Amino acid sequence: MFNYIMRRLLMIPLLLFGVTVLIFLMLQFLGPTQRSALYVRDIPRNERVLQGVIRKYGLDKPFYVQYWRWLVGVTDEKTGKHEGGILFGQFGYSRTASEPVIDIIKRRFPATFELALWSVLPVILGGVILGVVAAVNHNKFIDQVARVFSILGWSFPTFVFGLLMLMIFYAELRWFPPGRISNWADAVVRSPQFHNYTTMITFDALLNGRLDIFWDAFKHLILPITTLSYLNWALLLRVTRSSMLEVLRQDYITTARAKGLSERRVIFRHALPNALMPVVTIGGMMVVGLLNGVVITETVFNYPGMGKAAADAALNLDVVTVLGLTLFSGTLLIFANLVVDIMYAYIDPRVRLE
Amino acid sequence: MKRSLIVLFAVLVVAALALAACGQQAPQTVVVTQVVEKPGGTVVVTQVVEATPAPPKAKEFKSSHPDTLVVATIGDAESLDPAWDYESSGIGVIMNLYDQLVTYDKSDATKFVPDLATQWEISDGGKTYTFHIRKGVKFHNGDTLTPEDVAYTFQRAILQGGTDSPMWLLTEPFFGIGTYDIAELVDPTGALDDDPEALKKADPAKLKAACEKIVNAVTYDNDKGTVTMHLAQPWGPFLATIAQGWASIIDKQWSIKQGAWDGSCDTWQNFYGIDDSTAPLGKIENGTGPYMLDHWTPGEEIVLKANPHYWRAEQNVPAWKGAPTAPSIKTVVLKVVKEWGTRFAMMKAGDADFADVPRQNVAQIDPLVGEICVWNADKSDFDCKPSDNPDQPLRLWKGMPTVVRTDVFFNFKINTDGGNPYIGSGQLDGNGIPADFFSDIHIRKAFNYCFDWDTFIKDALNGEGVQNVGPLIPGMIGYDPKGPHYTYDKDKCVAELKQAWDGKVWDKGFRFQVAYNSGNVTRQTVAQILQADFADIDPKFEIEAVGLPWPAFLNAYRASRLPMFISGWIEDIHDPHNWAQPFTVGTYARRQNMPKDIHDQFQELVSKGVAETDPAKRAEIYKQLTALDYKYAPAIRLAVATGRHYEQRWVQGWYYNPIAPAFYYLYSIKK
Repeated sequence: MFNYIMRRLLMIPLLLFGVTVLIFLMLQFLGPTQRSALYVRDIPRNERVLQGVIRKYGLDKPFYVQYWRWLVGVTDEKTGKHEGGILFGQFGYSRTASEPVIDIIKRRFPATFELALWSVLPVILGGVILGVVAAVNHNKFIDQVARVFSILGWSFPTFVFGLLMLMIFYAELRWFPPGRISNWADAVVRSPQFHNYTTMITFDALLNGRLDIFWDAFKHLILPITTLSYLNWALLLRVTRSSMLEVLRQDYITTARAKGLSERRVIFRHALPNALMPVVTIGGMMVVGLLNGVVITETVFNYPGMGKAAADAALNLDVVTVLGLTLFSGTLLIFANLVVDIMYAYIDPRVRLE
Repeated sequence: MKRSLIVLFAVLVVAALALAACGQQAPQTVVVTQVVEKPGGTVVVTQVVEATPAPPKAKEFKSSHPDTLVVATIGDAESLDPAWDYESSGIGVIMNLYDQLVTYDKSDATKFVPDLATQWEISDGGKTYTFHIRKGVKFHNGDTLTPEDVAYTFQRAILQGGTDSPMWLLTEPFFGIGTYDIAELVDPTGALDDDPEALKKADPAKLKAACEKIVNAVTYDNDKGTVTMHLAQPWGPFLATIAQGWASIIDKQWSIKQGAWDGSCDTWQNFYGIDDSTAPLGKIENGTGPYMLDHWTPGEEIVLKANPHYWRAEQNVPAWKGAPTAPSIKTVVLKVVKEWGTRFAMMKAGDADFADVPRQNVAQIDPLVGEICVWNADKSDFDCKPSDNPDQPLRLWKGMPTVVRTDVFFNFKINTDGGNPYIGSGQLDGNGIPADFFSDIHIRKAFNYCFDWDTFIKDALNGEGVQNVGPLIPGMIGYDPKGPHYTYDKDKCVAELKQAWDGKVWDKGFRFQVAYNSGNVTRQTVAQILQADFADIDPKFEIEAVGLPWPAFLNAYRASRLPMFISGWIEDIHDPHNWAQPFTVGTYARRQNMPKDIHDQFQELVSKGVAETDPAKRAEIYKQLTALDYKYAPAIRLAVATGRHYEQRWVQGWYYNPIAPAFYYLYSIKK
């Protein structure tokens, strides 16, 4: 297991290199004029200024020179001031957000991470439980109901379902508001008495012993969590169900039953662990998707996460922000894949041997 | 007997309650049956009672957050530096944080009342303005306002320059018509505009002279408490120009501490042309206004807190007759909510007090309106009455004239450098158009005759608009609704097409793309109307409506690559010059590559118009400008829509000033 993890860890620098090259290649589709936006807020309209920027940052230089400068930045010969360099967290300046891209990531990622953390359990557990129930009751009424219920969710466009939730549970019932926190609670969170340990409001509220703040923040999470869960259950249900059905037909399951084991033990101890491999794959991808921000859900519920930032930037053709967020997401994906791979190895020893 | 009276009383109370429940105010006849115990037995008595029911209680609307005003808006501020920001969201915030020398007399966009200036004199034939600066005014950090602060404000703003900033509005009156940036005082060709590095290398003597010119144009006397402004020529709209956000008064010492211009003419070039990532005053504030910045989370929200030491309250100086002196709302939350469905839900739930409502969505929100206030042009005020659903929670203000217009502009010389996808083959072969297609007056007239205004007003403006005549907007000096203008006329359109390009256009047809920024339904409708109207004449006249993302549209438009572009203008100041200038010689004329001979004719009238102080003479000049616009038809002047504003019915104190979007003046609002 240790060797397996080490092998995976050693792969990471290579993968990161690949990601940066790929993203930088995408940048090359833009001309030097557009690429100047990586270093200056607005593309200069004055031709002489523009040429100055292109020269200064070597935007007319060969690919590898530009790539190196993109990685490590440029030092101004006259002032000695260092500018740019993604390795130093200099992802550029976001035109749409009027702030450095790294500041967007710092502020938005905790919000997205918080939503992802609270969503993981309902999304994964709900899907798996539905799948197990459907498989165990194969072709029975309960199986049909579970399948129809989840397929309905899968068929719903996120946008429509989210708005429906918003209209019913916010506009009509006024239970769960959009956004991240109420104005009064926001004032408390910003006060010096409140300590932001994690910048995830629900956790910080608990750490500060403020249950009222926790409940307010959690109320804002309920609709996004519900939307994400319902819309993702169908896929997990189908994967779990078919995987379970396949396992339940195996001889060792028949043997287990013949031994007189309880059906509960057969399902949860013998069948489910072996049916989980494809679930881990799908679930892992879902978690990565949640961590990268869920564009439509965040937009509908006005939740200030990474997805909403990326969508705003993309709609404004803010290449610098889009690329900065893509790079961050790519890196996140690599590490999330590592976790999934380790889980594979843990669940299935054959993977370690390979 | 006593018991009988009690029973009788009880019955009458029940009857009265029943009548009240009926909810009708007219007297009603009710038959009341009562059981009365009398000595010797029980008697049933029937009485006929006439009673007037109590009037129905008007439904009360109460906010769950009475001290906080929440605005659900689509736009975030770009910057809080008054000299840098040039978009309505940011200026709206700045207007609440800062004060200017003069302000509007409530809803009248042409009448000005004292703000930080207590009074002013105009002398030297309209070229000199002397302002007396109010004493005892404190900035948010506690510093006291001085005339030096006022002079520094204008000097710094103009020296900071930048052609994307609003500073052209100040450089023109101070340095002459056609001067759009301070750098033009160093190099009149404009080669140094927006080029800080090159400016730093310019001749030091010229740099110093340029700075001294503005320092001498805005002088101050702390002892007398005055600031004097010397203009290059009389400037009709000068007060209107300095009543806006870009003329907000800042604190000199505080600004210098933050890294703004240090006040020296030897160093100003180092502060020229900054961008918002480095602008020292871009994310902070220290004004004298009714609100202070609590925090700004870009893309999410701006929160303002009431200024507890607002000078109007401390000196008891209302801005206009009947105005409050202190802000009633303690906290203002300007929340960026881009999705309409979410804004709608916030209004329905009562969490948002104001919200941006796109015109195409009014049908969704109108059922929530319980009170309608319609603009009455005769008295320049609103008439309010309950809607058909008087219990609904929203109030709608409608019918007010707006100061926004979208037009269709022709490009006289399309930029084809490196190829141009918008003009097809680039030839007059039926599969494209040449670069100078719109230089032919017959083409421009044909497009004007082939545009269906009625459909535009009906489809794009929901029937709430009026066709515009010439470059100015209705209600302005010199605007004549009966002036020369084009109307939809297919026969005349065909006649013009037959004459265009010596008949080649009629023989071969044409094909090109008209672009609009995707998501803008109004502009999309304009493009589609043109497409349909020409296809209706002959399919060989092919116009493709193309939606482009905003930045792509802006790049193509700025580079003059679009053969025809649809763009809108919201006025900076409520004055005809602010329409005549950009539409005939400034921003738009430049993008249109308007030929010099036409440009010069317009320029002559624009220059005369802005320098004229006699309203009658001014009106005559602008009528001539409208006639010239009709003669050369450089654009299709579309229509001005009337406005709508939705708010919760518990909101009081909002008023309409055409120059100010919904949340410019929040201090008069209460809940």
